[in-house]
Formats: sequence, structure tokens, C-alpha cells
Amino acid sequence: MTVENILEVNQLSTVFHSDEGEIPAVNEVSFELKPGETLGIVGESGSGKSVTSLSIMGLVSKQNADVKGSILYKGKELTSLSEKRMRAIRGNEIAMIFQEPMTSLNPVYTIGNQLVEAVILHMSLSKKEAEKRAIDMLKLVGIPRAEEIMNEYPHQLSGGMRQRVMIAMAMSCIPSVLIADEPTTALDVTIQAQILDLMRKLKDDFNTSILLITHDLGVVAEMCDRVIVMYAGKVVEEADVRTIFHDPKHIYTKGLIQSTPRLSEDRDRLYSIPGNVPSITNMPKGCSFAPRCANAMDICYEKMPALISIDDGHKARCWLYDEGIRNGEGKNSE
Amino acid sequence: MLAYTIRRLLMLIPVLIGMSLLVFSIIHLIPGDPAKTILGEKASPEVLENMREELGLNDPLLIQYKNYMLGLVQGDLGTSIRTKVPIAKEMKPYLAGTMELTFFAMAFALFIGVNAGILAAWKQNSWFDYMAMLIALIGVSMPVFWLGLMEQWVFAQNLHWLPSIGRSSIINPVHPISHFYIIDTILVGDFGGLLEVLKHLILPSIALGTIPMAIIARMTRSSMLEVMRSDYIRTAKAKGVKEFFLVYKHALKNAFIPILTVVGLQTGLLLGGAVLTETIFAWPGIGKYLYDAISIRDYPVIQSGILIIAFIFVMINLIVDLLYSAIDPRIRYR
Ligand SMILES: Nc1ncnc2c1ncn2[C@@H]1O[C@H](COP(=O)(O)OP(=O)(O)OP(=O)(O)O)[C@@H](O)[C@H]1O
Ligand SMILES: [Mg+2]
Repeated sequence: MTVENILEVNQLSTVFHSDEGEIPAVNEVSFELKPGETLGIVGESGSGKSVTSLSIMGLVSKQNADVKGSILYKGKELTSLSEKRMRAIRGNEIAMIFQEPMTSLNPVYTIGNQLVEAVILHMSLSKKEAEKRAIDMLKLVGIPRAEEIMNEYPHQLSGGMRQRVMIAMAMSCIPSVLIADEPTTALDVTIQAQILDLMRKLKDDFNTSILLITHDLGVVAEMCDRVIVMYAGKVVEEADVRTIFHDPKHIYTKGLIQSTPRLSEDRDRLYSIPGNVPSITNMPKGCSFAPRCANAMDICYEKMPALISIDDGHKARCWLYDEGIRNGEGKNSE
Repeated sequence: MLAYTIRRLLMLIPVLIGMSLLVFSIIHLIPGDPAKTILGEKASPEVLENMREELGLNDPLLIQYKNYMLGLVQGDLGTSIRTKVPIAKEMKPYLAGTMELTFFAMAFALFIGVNAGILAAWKQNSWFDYMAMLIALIGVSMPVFWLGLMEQWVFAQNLHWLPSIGRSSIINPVHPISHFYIIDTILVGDFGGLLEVLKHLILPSIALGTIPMAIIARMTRSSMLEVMRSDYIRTAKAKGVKEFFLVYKHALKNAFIPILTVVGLQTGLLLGGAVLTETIFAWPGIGKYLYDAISIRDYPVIQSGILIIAFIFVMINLIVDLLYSAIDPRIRYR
């Protein structure tokens, strides 16, 4: 346990039990989050980003899923905490905001009711004080007419406003970690920028660490210090944000970056990664990316590569960077 | 809201006129001579003529309708052929009896049904869930008369715990003021009498409430299961809300709209006269009152009874609509 990591995830695996069999949605994922840092998790739809975050929050139902591995929060093992002690952490020390601002607030309670509830749950404040804090939070996230909004219902607000309310709610107890699961995906571009600005400002004000889940590399470039790339439930690359954009190692990462539109480029020839994400219940043997990989070698269809350290803090899960393979054995695919 | 209520009440006027027109025509739709139908083939011409005069059948149709409507507006429902008593006066105790019984039956059905449904959904696929849904299945298919007879046999005949017939004890009759015996005994401070009244209510309330209870339990369960999957429940969990409040605060209010619909329909049905239950338990209610009227073809009573029941249906409908908007702020009527 290192003091410098506020959150340390080690070999986290989440398997859902379904009628069609086991679904290994998250597979031996490891990463750490430092105080005040923003760590991005990127990956295509279905790569296990949301399940990773829900597993950290202890919100995957134990009835139909198994969560293995270790999650250390400030050195404390979360996976073995009782439900009661976990509740004291949720929303208080680790807070979360979600992708769907339109449906993430309870439609039958006022904004004020839901904000005050979050405050009272974790802070020993009177109803009056909690209301004042809720109003202060609404002002902090840039909501005009905060006092009036308190008495309004979610359906009376726009998507952007609702996401601000969600952020106000998540930040109301000043969490050490904020998990944001695609917080801007459902919003239009100008609102997106405002919300990202707001998150950056709050992060600086409160020194909160952010785990930012997104599939938008633009958001990553703007917000993150470090990035992990997920593919089919596994981490395939990890690096600081400059390295990810300037020196990506994994073909999948390269593909993701190439498939992001840029103004300078020819519009007709936007790159797309060939093939599809394999069905998670029916993973190919070996590297799960191999069927889509231009550089695939024989061994790629045989064995899953380890996450190989390339540079300080830069890792990639690819046989190309394996010492043994590099030294000449078996490059025989072309 | 107030404006809407007033508007809905005004909209009742054409509905009520339509209903009264229908009810008015009943007597004219009898094939042949209504007087003969009421008195029988062997009645002498003088008696028949008297009856026609009494029913006003000798006037032109339009005059008849005018007289009928004038009476209705003044609260005059006509006169019973059998007892020669004004129907409005005669019906009041029966109506109160049915309302009191319905209220308790629905209170029983709601309390047990909603809670069983919630628990079944909360502990989905547990033995409680299976048992509750099995009992609910038996409940909806239970013949009411059989259940009533069984109750009487067990709790009155064998165990002597509860009275099996009537609204109050014969030895210590309730002095009627409002004809709601609960209210009447409280008004005069007769708490022994109140206890008797409550005891008399138990068995018929259970007999009458079992089917609604089973329907409500099934409805609650499916509605809760759906709501528990929604995003705002996940948000509440992420805030650290206790499971109890998750269920009873965040989920229940959202799940209540379909439950309310069922409650409204069932209340209407019960108020419309539970002839079977009222007969088995010798309960002086509107169902029994109407049944007696039908068996001796007391047309004025039948007409008024139908009118009153239709009126109650319409009112319940209105109340349910108003409750919808009280529960769900998105439902706002203008
Ligand atoms: N409750 C569940 N039961 C069964 N399978 C699930 C459940 N939740 C998620 N999964 C599966 O886990 C996999 C990963 O899902 P996840 O939601 O984490 O993807 P994601 O990376 O967040 O994608 P997106 O970008 O679309 O949000 C998917 O294949 C999904 O079908
Ligand atoms: Mg997701």
C-alpha cells in the first residue's frame, strides 16, 4: 500500500452469470489513481468500462455476478467491507455521476429533496443547514436561480442542467474520488465543454481525483493526466496522456486515435478499425484483438499476452513488445 | 390543480345527464306494460292503472323525463314501490354500510398487497417471492363465496373468535347518525360498540379484499421490479442510500401509478355492491339492497341504485386521476 495512491485496483475481475453462460465483463484490470489526478478509461462500447466503475462502487449485484480482485481506497480494502460501511463510502468518499442525465434523477422528487438527501446521508447537518449547502452547491455548479430550482422536478430542467445537478449532488460531500461514467456523452457539444470545464474547476478546488470514463478521445486529451485503454474487458494499454497520443503502442490504441476525426485531415478517409469487438461470451483463444489486428502472429492466436512494461508508466498488452518475441522468434505471419 | 379539478367536475355534468337518460329509459325498455311486469299477469286492471299512475307512466314521455330530472336535481330519487319510502332516504344506510366495508376491504388489500409485492420484488426469486406469488395466484382465483363460508366456519362457528353476520351486535345496536358505524360509535363515545363494529368488519373485509389484495400484490411486484432497474435507483445507491429507503422512498412512489389504477378499478367494483359477500355475511349494503329490489322488480329502486353506482364509479375515476398528478409531477393537467 502506497500513500500516494488514493485508489488502487488490482486484478479486478467481474463475471456475470447469465442464462447464456458466464460473461467476463471485466478481466484482471489493474490501475491506480493518485490524489488530484484525472485518469481516463477509454474503449469501445461493451469493453467493460461501466462495469469496472460499478464494481469499484460495490454496485454490481452479488446475486448474479462475482467480483474478484482487490480495490484499495486509501489503503482500505473495499471488497471485504460490509454493506453498511460501503454505504458510508458511497457518495461520501467515492461519488459517481452517470451518462444519462435525463434518467439519472428520480422523477417524482424535487431537486432539493434529492440534494438534501445526499448531504444529510453523510454530513451531520440539520435540515436547514443541508438545504443551505444544497443551494450553495447548485450555485457552485453554475445553476442560475438555485433557490427556485430546489423546488423543481427533474423534468423541468434541460439535460445540461440535470447533469450539473448530478455533479452538484456528487460533489456535495466533497468526495476524494469522483467516478464520471461518460458524463458528457448525452449532451450537445457546447454544453459538453461547459460540463468538462466545471469538472476541471471542481477538481482543482477540492483536489478530487477523477476517474473519467469515455469513448471520446477529445475529452481524454482535454481532461486526463493518464489513460488506460480497455478492450473486451482487459486493459490493453496504459500511459500518460501525451504518450497515448504521440506514441501509442497497441494497434487498438493506434486505431482508436486514427479513427478520431481531426480538422486537418481529409474528411473522406476517416479510419475505422476493421472487424468487430468479439462477443464477450465467445472470446477467441489467445489475444482477443488478434482477429482484427494487422500484425497478428501465430502466437497471438495461441496465448493472451501479458501487460508488458515498455517505458516508465507505459504498458501495452501485445506480443510485439515481448522480449522473447522481439529477439527474433516466430515473427512469421506475413 | 384546482382549476383542473373544477373543470373535471363541470365535465361530469354531461356524463351525469347521459347516465340519467340511460337509467330513465330502463323502465321504458321493458317489453310490454311495466306495471304488469312489476305486479304480475294476474293483477287487476285497477291495480295496474294505479301503478301506472304512481310511476307517472301516463304522462307524455317528455314530461316524465322532466319530472324525473327535476327530482334528481333536488336529490329526489323517487319512491320505492315496495316500502313507499323515498329511495334517497332508504338507501343511505345501505350505501354507508357498503362504503364502510369497502374502505376496510381496500385498506386490507392495499396494506397486505403492496407490502407483499414490495418484499417479493425486493427479494426476487427467494422463497418468500415464490410463496407470495403462489398465494396471490390462489387469491385471484378464489371464489369469494367459498372464502366467506370458510371464514365463517373456522372463525365464527368453530373458534368463536369473530361474529359472522351483520354490522354490529344485536344486543347493543349502534345508534345511527351518519350510518357509518365507526364514526357513529366514536361520536357518542361508545367504545365497546366500536370494538363490536370492528369485529364485525374483519371477516367480510377479508373475504371482499382478497381478490384485490392478490391483484395489487402482483401489480406491485412487477411494477417494483421494473422501477428497481432504473437509472435513478442506481444514482440513489451511488449516493449511499439505505436499501429500505431505496425501496420505500425512491422506488415505491414511482411504482405506484399502475397500483393506483388497479386500486381505483377495484374500489369501484367493490362499491358497486358486493352482492355475494353482503349476502353471505348478511351485510346491509347496497349490493343486497339492489338484489332485493331486483327480485321483486322494484324499478325505481333499481334505477336509482344503478345511477348511484355509476356516479360512484365516475367519482372514483376523478379521484384516481387527481391522485396520479399528486404522485407524479410529470402528470400535470391543464
Ligand atoms: N448486469 C449485467 N448482466 C450481464 N451482463 C452485463 C451486465 N452489465 C454489463 N454486462 C455486460 O458486460 C459488458 C461490458 O459492459 P459495460 O457496460 O461495462 O460496457 P462499457 O464499456 O461501459 O460500454 P458503453 O461504452 O456502451 O457504456 C457488456 O458485454 C455487457 O453486456
Ligand atoms: Mg458504459
